[in-house]
Amino acid sequence: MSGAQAIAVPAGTLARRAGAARVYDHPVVVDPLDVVDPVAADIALIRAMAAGDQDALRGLYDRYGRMLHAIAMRITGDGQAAEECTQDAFMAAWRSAESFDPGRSRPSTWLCAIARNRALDAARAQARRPVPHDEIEPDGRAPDTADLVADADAAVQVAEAMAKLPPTQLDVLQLSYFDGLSQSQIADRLSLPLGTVKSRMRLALDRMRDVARDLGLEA
Amino acid sequence: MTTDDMTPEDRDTLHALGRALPRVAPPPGLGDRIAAAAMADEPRAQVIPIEQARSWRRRTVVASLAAAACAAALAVGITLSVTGPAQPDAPLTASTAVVATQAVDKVTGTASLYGADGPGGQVQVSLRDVPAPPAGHHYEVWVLEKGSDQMTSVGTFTPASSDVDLTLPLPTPADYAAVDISVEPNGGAPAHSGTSLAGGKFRA
Repeated sequence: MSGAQAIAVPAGTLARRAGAARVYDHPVVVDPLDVVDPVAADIALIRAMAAGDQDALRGLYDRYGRMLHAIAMRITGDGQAAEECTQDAFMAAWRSAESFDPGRSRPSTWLCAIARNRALDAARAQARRPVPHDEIEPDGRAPDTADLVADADAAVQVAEAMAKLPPTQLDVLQLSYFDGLSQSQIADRLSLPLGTVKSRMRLALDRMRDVARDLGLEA
Repeated sequence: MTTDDMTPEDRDTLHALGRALPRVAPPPGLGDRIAAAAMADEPRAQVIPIEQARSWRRRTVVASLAAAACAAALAVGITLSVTGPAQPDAPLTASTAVVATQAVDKVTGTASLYGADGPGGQVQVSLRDVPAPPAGHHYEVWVLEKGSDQMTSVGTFTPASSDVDLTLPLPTPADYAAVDISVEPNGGAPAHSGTSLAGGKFRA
């Protein structure tokens, strides 16, 4: 907002506020994870980060940490490097949150691109180091950069497809996909009925199956 | 991954996706390390010269008094001028991202509690992409105490633009769990209408 703002208060408001507290028996409170539109929730988190809210950074990590780490792992192929890239990516997002423009890209696109580029930089830096003889391919070439970029793009496409899932479905899918939990374990972890977990997983996998097909990942 | 409760088709899907995006979890504690790094990072909060900040606060107080005077004198609506998001003096108690309740709305923002556990506590609400309320309606800000099932009103507003920054006094010192912005009919009943524009749950 720029400058002062005029706020029209309906007649009687001050009198009402000065009297007994107004109460409501059925609070309508939303949690970012319950919001139907994940993009709006992500934009809210990024704007909160821009305002210096570290909780928002943690919220963004909870949603995207696994995906960005997996992207970095796919590109670098090294656990330590993937961890460093993930941390670098979130710190870059933290420092540049003010410049994020939701009119130019989705939050997931922005975050995945940061992680992808950090990981590609790390992989290229690794490639510049002396390569042990047993890691050189039969024809004497080091791993191909074009292949690396293609792998990176495929990883980003899957991650972005995941990010488009409703947050409740993404929660369930991530606990299964990355953390290896069974649906019963997920139900316990999230304090949800098993049937709810199964239905969310079903919806998530139906959408992700189409993604796998479109990307030619199926055997 | 434990897949004993999945169909073969589901397992194939996960396996196929894993070809592109490895199914590996980040190491435990990575989120904590990132949060710690951010905490140690250079503060990015806007710094307001002390004299300017005092001036802003003085203008707010004067405007509030003027509005109160208008309210006493007039039976019609009043206009209250609220300055931009100058940070309250009291320490930050908790904050939350505020998000739209309805998928059709794109409201985003933050809400922060300052000195909520003592007298004079305030809630600062900053909203972006706020739509104009329906004709004959306005918005109202509510807070919910932890352990309570009743929300308490802290103020009403009708936005002059899509960006709204409010600093409102809290009703009592308390541990607050959530904030909610409702859509209320002008001159309606004092109870919450049941229709929310946006909200969020505080995290300390």
